[in-house]
Amino acid sequence: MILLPFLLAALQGDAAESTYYELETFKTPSGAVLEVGGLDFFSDGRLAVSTRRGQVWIVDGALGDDISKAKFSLFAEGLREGLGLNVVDDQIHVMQRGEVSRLLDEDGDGRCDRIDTISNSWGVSGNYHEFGFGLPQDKQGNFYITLNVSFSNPWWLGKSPVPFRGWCLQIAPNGATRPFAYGLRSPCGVGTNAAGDLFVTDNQGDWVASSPIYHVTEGAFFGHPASLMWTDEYRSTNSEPSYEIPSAAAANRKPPAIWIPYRWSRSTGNLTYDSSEGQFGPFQGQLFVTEMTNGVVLRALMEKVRGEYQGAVVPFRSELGSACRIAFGPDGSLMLGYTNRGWGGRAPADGLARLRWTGKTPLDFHEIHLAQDGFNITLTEPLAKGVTIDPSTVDALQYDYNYWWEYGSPPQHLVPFKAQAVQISEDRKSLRLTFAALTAATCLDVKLPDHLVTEDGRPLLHREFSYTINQLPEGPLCLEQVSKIVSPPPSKENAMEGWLRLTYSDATALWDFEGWRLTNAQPTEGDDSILSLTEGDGALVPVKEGAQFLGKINLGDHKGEVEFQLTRGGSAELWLLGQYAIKLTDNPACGTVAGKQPDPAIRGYYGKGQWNKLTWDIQAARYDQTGNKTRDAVLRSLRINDQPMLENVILHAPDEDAPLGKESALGPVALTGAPHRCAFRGVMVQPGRQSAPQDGWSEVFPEDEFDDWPSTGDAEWELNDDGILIGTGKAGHLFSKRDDYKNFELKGRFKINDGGNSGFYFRVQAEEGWPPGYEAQINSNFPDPQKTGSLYSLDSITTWIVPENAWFDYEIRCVDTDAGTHITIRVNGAEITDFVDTERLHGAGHIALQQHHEGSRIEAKNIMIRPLD
Amino acid sequence: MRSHLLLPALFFSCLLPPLAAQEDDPTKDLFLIHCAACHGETGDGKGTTELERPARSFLDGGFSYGNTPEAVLRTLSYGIPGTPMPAFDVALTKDQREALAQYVISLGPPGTIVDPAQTELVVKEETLLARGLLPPIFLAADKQPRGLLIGLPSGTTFEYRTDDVRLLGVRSGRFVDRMDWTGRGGAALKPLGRVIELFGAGKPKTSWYLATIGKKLPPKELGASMRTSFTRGTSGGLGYELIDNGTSAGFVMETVSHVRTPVGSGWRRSFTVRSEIPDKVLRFDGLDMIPPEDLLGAFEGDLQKATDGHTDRLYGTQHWLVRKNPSGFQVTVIHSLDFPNQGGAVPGPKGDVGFWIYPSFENVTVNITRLTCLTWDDATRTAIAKELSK
Repeated sequence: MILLPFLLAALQGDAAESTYYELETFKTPSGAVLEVGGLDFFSDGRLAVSTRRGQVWIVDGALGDDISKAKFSLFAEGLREGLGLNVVDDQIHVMQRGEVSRLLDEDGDGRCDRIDTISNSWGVSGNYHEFGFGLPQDKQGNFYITLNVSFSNPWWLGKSPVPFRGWCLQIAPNGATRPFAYGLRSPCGVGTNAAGDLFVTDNQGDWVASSPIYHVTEGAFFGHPASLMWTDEYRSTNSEPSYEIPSAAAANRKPPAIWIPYRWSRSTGNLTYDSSEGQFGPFQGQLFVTEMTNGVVLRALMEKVRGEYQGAVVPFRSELGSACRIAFGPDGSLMLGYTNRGWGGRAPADGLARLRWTGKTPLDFHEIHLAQDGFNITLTEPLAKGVTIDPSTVDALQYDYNYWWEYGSPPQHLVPFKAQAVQISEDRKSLRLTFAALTAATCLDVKLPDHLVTEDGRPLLHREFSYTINQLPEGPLCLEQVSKIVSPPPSKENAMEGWLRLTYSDATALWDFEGWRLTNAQPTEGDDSILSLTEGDGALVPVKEGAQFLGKINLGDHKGEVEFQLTRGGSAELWLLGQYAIKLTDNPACGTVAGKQPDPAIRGYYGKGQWNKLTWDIQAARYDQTGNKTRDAVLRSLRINDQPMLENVILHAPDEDAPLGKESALGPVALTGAPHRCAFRGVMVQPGRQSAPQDGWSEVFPEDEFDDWPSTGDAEWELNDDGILIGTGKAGHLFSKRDDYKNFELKGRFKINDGGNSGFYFRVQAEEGWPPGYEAQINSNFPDPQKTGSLYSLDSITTWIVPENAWFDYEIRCVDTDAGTHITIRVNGAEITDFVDTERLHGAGHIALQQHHEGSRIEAKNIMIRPLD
Repeated sequence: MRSHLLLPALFFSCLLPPLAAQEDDPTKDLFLIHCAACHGETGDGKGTTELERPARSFLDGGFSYGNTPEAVLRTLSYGIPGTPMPAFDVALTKDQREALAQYVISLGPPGTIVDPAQTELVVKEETLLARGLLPPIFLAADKQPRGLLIGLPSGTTFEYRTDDVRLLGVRSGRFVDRMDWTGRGGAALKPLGRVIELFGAGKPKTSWYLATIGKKLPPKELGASMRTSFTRGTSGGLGYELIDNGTSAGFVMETVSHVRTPVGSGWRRSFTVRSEIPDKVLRFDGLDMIPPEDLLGAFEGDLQKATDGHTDRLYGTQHWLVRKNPSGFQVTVIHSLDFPNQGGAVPGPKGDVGFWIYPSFENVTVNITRLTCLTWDDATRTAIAKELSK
């Protein structure tokens, strides 16, 4: 029963849209791959198309009723990408990565034979990400282009190593070029509205919380700091902007006119306004924005509030290909240019299509205007007589974002609420929504109920809008922004501290399973209810009914993260502690726990065929010494794609069919799911800290004994001012002064570099070469299959559980028992290795550290021991 | 088992032309007359002519420009610049060249014609331009984020960077693989031709200078700013503005083309220059100096006396430089066909591959032609001079 409304929504989403706006796809010439980066029309109706392959095609007959008659001819090739095209006075102008060019055909043979360089006055360093976009013109004939930042380490961190990366430039008809606005990141779309004002779309990433639409004015700064490099202030001091700390300029950012919610636009293309004078239906003069990941076109309903543009965004047409470019034809058709190579997006990944109005007017939002206490909405058609709207059925979700160096920002400070009143006008074409309180510097997603229809029964085609409230119409001007300056998040390095990667590299070694496969998986073409599996190691997929993928590592309280994907109608379960199910289903109820459903207004789940990140924080049940439960387990938080789905759900008892039959304070992560209809990857956990005895510990390497530590080999050892012991140079070993450690608990914090290798020895003899003793291996990605967590050559861990360059904790217990020498190794609090050496290979000895090879760097601190003799 | 072994042998023998037919083959006669001296009577690359690098053996298959009849025909018609392989477009008819192409291909092992990779850009009848990130052309040279390749139908490719418009080198062979058509699009192009000419070891210095008449000031380096690029049938080129401290010092249209003569083939850069600064001289110094000890000959062509309005000077319309190199004889000629009516171009001193443009002349055209010849004698010189006078 619960599925029914979602089915309805799906029908409204695509089938219904096509009755109003019909999609037709052009057949492109055989062998040609049209990865469209620019579209515009000649005065005679021919279409010019520039592509990322550096070609320009001319399409004759793109506007005709029968698009199979359209003729494609290759006008130019060999350009360096064409991510913007403008036909000015019937001459093709193309934005290439390295120049703005005018393409001419002097001998009239239909092929370009002259390329005039209008401007190349900006830097290109050679980084792949330095895309350049364009190419609208203002009334004075000035062109506008936008330049991506470069990427460096980490791969998504934007920098501006050469002039004007991250800027919008103005180029006069004579080629004179000047910097115009800055603070951009990956500004893929540049266009104007009907009034001739300039707008730029940007893409989510560092310092960009979601998908913004900027109103670009001269001198405006939009917040990405890389571009500051080329301001007079930074040039005069020869300084580089911080990539982690918000710059002084951040306070004076010009806010986006609209933040498109990430679920609607994950990769925004260009924008253009409806210049069709009614030939495209009721949205004359309005801005249309294209999006390639979901394959949708959205409408941006701008208005000026307190003198600045802001407004709402609403879905327009879905189920398209990866539309990176849109342009209106003189006949009112909307041309769609597809490309997604290297970026990802909905199929088809390339080609040309068009949307034409069928002449039927949908019931849809026409205009949305902000009032002090709500919205005045006009509709394209009147509502049926008798339709009323109960305000409690109007869902609103208020939120804002973080402005930080982290990649994107999940919505913050989520506040769901309902409308207070809804009035329908006499002509039934306007709605007045009233809310108890609206707050400036927030976004508000509003969803109307599903029973709104026209007199002849056509439903409201799109029920949701998202309005970016930079300012309210009245009251004091708000000095805050939707995207708030916050303290920088911890660096990635620290962020991985304490985590264990349970499926990294050797994805299955730490799991017991049958009926699961490590494979590549993608939705089957033509049937998105089932995954197609191909050879690879991209995903874990159940292939047998009822099959379990059960972790070998037992955990107590912990945090965790996993990515999952579902097919249409697919389902899966993530079991925490092997006992409590998080039910993953292909609908907004995705993430149900203990019968508790997430609020459907908080949309975390991206939908079928998409990878979703799920994070959790669970506290295990507590027991007294006699084994009686004293407290239930609690799911402290569940997030899907960073959206808070559930918090503090009491887990009274294990779910039915739990892999672990009996409730327990310890248990593994486990996965189950519908065969071929779900996939997982990237399981990580961060075990909670356990209380351990505090007394009886002593330092193994006390600073004042530095000179007394025996060493072998040619390694260099240094104890720095922070108490960190650092091993570099050639192979060698450093030993504790004492050589009589036998039964003990031993712990230490370690960090190994990329390609490094080391070991934490115990019961070891101070001998040259590889000394005899037990070794807890320290190796994140050095090509020795035994990784961190291994008891070297006795019990191997082949999964790369600890990342390089991240501190981790080793806790080792070594005691002689009747059965042999019993050694347990915990990494970041989780027991990874439990081994009994029946041969009792090594007796009492030193503690030691290994430096394995030149280029390796081991850092160690807090090495403490607690004798158990 | 035995029959299995026999099958392939039978198969191959069917493909070989019958022995009797070969003896009457007029194409073979052509081969013996025109090709065998270098490539050997059997096509094994062991001809009687002494070459530093042996001519291609046709028996192993594989040709510089690809294995298709069209590609080999192109080689026969245009020659291979930078090698002694001459152009046969005058000596042989197209039919003869086509037959010869088939013949030399038939000498090699049977093979399939490989379709060019999907990302390869192939130059056909007309010149193509390709822009993109270029890999270092030579060892320690730099990658070039703003690269431009001008690919001629002859298989000659001119490799520029357009930031400041400098010619990095000349290649010969297939054109370019568009590696940036994969992934996100940031990859460097892969020029496919062999480098036959390299300027400044891939890091060429400024090509253009400004000198003051009558003063011994060191010439001043000029910047260059890309203005246009073009294709014209089988040639192509680019236009750029010379910049002196932000102001225009002149405008250059540079056309590049393939040069073929019966004695050797090569390339030409043709400069049409307009000076914008009335009292200064533009100096072109864009090719590497030839060390005087390498020079076999350096002589002027038809020296003539002219007046440029300032002084009486001798202007050379043809300035020849000949050197021996591993491939044969490298002949460089700086020549201005416009002389004397529109002249004003003066070649540099001995061994210097450059020229001056005097300010009183507008739109002076100067050509720099470089060919590789197997021999150096009067006949060679005459053949080249004939081409220059075209």
